[in-house]
Amino acid sequence: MAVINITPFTDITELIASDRVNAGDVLLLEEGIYFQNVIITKDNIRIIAKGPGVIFDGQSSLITAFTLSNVTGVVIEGVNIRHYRFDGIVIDGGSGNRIIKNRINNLLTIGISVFHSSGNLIWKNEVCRCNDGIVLNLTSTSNRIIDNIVKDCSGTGFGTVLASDSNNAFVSNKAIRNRLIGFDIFGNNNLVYDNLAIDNNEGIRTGDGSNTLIIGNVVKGCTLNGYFITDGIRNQFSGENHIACNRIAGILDQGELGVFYKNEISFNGDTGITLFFFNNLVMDNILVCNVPENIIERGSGNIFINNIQKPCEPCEAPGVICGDCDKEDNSSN
Amino acid sequence: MDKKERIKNEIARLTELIKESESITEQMPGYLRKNQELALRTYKKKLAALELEYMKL
Repeated sequence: MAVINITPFTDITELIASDRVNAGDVLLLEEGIYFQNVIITKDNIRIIAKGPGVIFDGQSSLITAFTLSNVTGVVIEGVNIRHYRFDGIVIDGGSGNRIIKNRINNLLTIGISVFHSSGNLIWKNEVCRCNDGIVLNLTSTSNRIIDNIVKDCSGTGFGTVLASDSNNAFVSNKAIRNRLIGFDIFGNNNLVYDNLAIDNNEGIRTGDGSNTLIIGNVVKGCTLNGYFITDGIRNQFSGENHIACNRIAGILDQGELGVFYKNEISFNGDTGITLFFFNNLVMDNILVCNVPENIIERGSGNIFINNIQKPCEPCEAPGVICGDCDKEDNSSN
Repeated sequence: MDKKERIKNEIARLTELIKESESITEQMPGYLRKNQELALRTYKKKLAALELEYMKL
């Protein structure tokens, strides 16, 4: 194994493809502005930024900063990526790659995109002003998306796209001010745990799959619903989430046989929980000052046990507690 | 937005971007073009896979 120093003048793709680089080698990037598409076709290559000034700038004409093409065990750490036409980092096939502490901004598509790939770690990256933040697609399974921040994107913060994108975990991430959905989770057996979704159009949406776990998340300030469970979802579990100050429902449920357990749902502008479908268990939740009702049941066969429901106190309402645009505008003058 | 519409939008966006990027690539000097074409190939493959998924729906 060797450490190979890299400058902006090195053709990294050509170097990796050559006999000069072997599995386990570290490519140590000198600080500077790199103008290249890097295509990684060899396993276990570690690409590490030497300092905070390693910048890959596509100047709105290059495609993708890093393409991991059917590889395993590749590390990309500490790189700044900006102004590419497609994704910042794309993992196409392969497994077990590590994408760590990169900062990605101003791309036309996705900050970090994974397709046909499994068992990757995406940890402590920051993505802003892209179309979408971090997206798993086309049968990507068992990936771990941990402690990332996605903000100010024009689409979705974090997402899985198809029913086959399953067994993934989104843990301790932050989705802030994205124009569509904070966490848009399709597929089976995905875990969304301990995340924060603030000021997105919708906080969390689940669709096209079963057995999704939504636990310990904070969802606030959405223009639409805090958590939207779309038609046909079965056996989702939502526990100990804190869902507050969303413009429409705290939880809008179109699924069946789900469990809502110990969630705190407060100050949402159009009901706390609305159940459209059947046979859900709603237990030990605390619902405070959701208007017009804390719980509305439009389906049937749903069971309610030990939920605490509190109406609004005098002079208390979602608009008063959560603030409104006029107040924010006035305070900024 | 349902799943079908979502994938349809993604297909439209990728198609447009690939077309534009091919045009940009043609104007690039040779030393950049090879990796640009390799990177673009990934998205053509992704587009084909998405179109297949769309047809299944």
